[in-house]
Amino acid sequence: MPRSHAPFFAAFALPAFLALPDALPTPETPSPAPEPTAAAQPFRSHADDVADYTLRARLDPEKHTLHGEGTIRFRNASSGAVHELWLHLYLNAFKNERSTFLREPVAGFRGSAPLADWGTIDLTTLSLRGDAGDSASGTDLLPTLDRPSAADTGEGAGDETDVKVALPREVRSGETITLDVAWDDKLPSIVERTGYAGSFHFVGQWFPKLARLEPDGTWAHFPFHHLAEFYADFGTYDVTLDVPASFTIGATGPLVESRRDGGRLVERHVQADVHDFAWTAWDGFRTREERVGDVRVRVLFPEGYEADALRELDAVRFALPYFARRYGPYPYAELTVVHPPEAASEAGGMEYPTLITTGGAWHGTPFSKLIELVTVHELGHQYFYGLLASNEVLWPFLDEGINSYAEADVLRAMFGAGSAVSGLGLTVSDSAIQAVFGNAAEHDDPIAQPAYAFETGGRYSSLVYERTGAVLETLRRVYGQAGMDRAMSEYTRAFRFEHPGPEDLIACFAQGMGGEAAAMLRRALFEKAWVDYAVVEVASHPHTAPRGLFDRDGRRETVAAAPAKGGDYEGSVLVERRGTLSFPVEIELVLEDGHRERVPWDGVGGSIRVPYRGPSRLRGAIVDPDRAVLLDDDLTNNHGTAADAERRGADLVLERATYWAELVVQAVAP
Amino acid sequence: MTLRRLPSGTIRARRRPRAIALLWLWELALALVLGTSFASLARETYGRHPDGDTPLFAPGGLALLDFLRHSLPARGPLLCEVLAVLAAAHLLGLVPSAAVFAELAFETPTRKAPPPRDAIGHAIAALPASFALSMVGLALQGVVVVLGGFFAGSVSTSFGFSLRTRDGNLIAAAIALASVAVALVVGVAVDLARAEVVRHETSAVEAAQKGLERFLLRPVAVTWSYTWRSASSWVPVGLGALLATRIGGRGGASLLVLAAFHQVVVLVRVAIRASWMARALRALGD
Repeated sequence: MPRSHAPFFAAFALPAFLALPDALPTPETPSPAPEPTAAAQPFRSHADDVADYTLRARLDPEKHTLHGEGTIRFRNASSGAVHELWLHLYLNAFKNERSTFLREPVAGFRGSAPLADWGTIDLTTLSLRGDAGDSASGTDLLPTLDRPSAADTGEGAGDETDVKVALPREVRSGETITLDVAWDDKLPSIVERTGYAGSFHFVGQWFPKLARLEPDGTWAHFPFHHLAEFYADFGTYDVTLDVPASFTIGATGPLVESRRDGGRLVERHVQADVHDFAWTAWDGFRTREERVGDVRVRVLFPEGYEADALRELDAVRFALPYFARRYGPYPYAELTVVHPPEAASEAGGMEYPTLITTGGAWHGTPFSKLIELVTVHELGHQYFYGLLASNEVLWPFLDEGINSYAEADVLRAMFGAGSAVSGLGLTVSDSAIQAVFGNAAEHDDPIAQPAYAFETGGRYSSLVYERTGAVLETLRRVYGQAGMDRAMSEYTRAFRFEHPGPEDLIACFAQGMGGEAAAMLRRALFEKAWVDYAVVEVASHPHTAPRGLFDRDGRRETVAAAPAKGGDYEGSVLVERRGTLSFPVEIELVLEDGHRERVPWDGVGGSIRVPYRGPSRLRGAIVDPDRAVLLDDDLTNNHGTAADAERRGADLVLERATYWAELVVQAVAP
Repeated sequence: MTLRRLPSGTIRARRRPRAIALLWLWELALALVLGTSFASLARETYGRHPDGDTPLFAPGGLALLDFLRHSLPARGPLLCEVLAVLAAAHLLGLVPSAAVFAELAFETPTRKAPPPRDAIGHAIAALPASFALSMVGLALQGVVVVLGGFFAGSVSTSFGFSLRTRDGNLIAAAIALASVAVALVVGVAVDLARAEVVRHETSAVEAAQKGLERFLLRPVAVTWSYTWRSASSWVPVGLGALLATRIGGRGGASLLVLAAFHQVVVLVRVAIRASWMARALRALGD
């Protein structure tokens, strides 16, 4: 899912200033592509199949219902025997106000649209298929279906999204079973990532889906929480969809079979090495298609949104090879980009394997790069969620946070300093937005915690997306691009088609960037850690010989003040580091004669007094002049001027604010 | 000094450069109140920076966003100040605006522009009627725009349900534009009435009647006269934006050049407005 505060800043900040200053040194220059290393392991081509689904679904777009049936083939890839199965029936999150989703008082961010129509999923068949000699073959599992949380009296009571069935016999490690399933869906009005609006249908979390079985034999199963997303095993999805012939379908995986049958359109989509399947059907879609490398990219959009579709295609054309260079090849043949109609905007900004949804107004956003931002973000999820299939419920930062960093990296390469907003001479980067919003929430919660532990959508967004992005970008700026490339390369190679956790990420940073960087990463993720560098004091004076009483040659002499020599000054700059994070920074000394000197500081202690001696008075000092530490809580104290130096004032703000005020005054003048 | 009315056919803004300059100075003074407040806020923190407030304009906007975040407590007072200045710009602005009408409409017995003191005297005498006309005009314009916005929103929403968002938006935009056009026509009629108040020293009611009457004589021509001037006043702003990007204006001479250039833009816009005021006086006839 995306987040963006760019429109807010565009509205707030753009009118304030007009002229762009001359080019300044900026860390907003694109990162060079990583150099391939001979020793690097090749990227894996396929996942380990655990849960294969062969499903058929028929949509009734008038009633917004769907009948489904098929088989689920499950292999016990854990080390122990399995005696039960956990299934997610996530459409029941919209069944009634006893569901966890609707009971959680989480405001803001996403999923806050009022529910105009309920949604349900009812399992009608669930039976075990087996060999002829298997006494358990054909066992109906539905009588054993248990909704533990529905029976609870405590928190989550009444939820029907997380259910288990008892198996008639244990399934040994390595053994495979096949389940026959049939179910009926009633889609809700569009909410979060699924539902309908008129004849537009976006169908996500629509089938009974196995929870993920962890290697130790425990099930990672969760009710559908308000802010949480998903977690599942890889497998092959072979899905046949049956909709009215006037509809256009977009789905996970390439189309392998299509036919028209009595006023119906029947399409079969098959995709291996994925862990979910979503689709959309609407009689209002327009399409554009092109090949980006070996990938067939298809954009589905409403009439009148051609300009958006072109921008989305541009973004994919740039980002797909960019991601491939950084994080490994995109392993699928197809990518479908869905731009939902505005009435179904809650379906926008979502990722599924080989299918992403975007959003944006038909008339575009002239100053904001929001359309590209959402498209690139969702595309990035093909890696951070799709290929690196972390537990999105327990560790949402592993997909959303890393992906926010990756998104900002691509947008910087595409647009430079104006990667979020660019217009009227003002540029705002995606990284700057991530830094400022992330820093504003730094004391609220740790980043690394389950999605359901965040009390508000705002905190979840600011910490999971923004602050994680800013943490990683800070590490890149402070410890270098090469280290970042090594760490991310190791992470994306080692855990491609795997289910990495936070420790895996930190270990990759320790290996690629060093122990100090990894320690900062751990602290920033788990400990609500923060940092604020500040210039506290700047002073210099003419150098004079020491005064006082001196014992020389057996006699005590009084040395009085000697006249100072011109062109010889001494002084110091006091810089403090507040907070629990520390990064090496530079301190820039600015002299009256215009010269500047930089002094490195490891940033480990609480403060440093930088001595100065030179031919000119100290005018001021700046800590972290290149803005490497995006996590710095307050940049307004990163500089100081000596008490005896002339202050520069705020002439630029005065000029621009006055000019804009004149234009506004003219607008209201009689 | 006794002033006499200029024949309407001879009223031209270009003959009153002093009036244009004084109106520009009035607007500059108001804007400086706001500009100084924003600059004070920036000076509190970036006044201590060795490079002044230059970092606030650095590419990427990190320092600017961080500054805005840490300036949030000042948002309330600043907003109040902005609203107060804008209210003053409209209400107190009735005096300089009427004074410009007087400068345009009269001349001294020696055929010179009226002294500012006399023009302001006329303006103050016309203030009650100007104020009444202005308030009625604002109220009418407000009603028109709010109703237009309401209908536009309703249409847009109803089309949204049928998923034809673009069609709905376009129709809504047409409705909104139509309501703005009606509000513009109201504004034109009010300007004629305010001109009448100054030129013939009539009451608000009489001026409104005369203004409406003269407007209805040639509604299209008068409205067009306003519209093209209003539209063309944005040309210097656009040019200013383009040139400002090239000038830069980070400090020193380039900042002075930029400031001068911006003021030329504002002055040109004031001149265009004075040109419209002269046209309004001509529309009233003798």
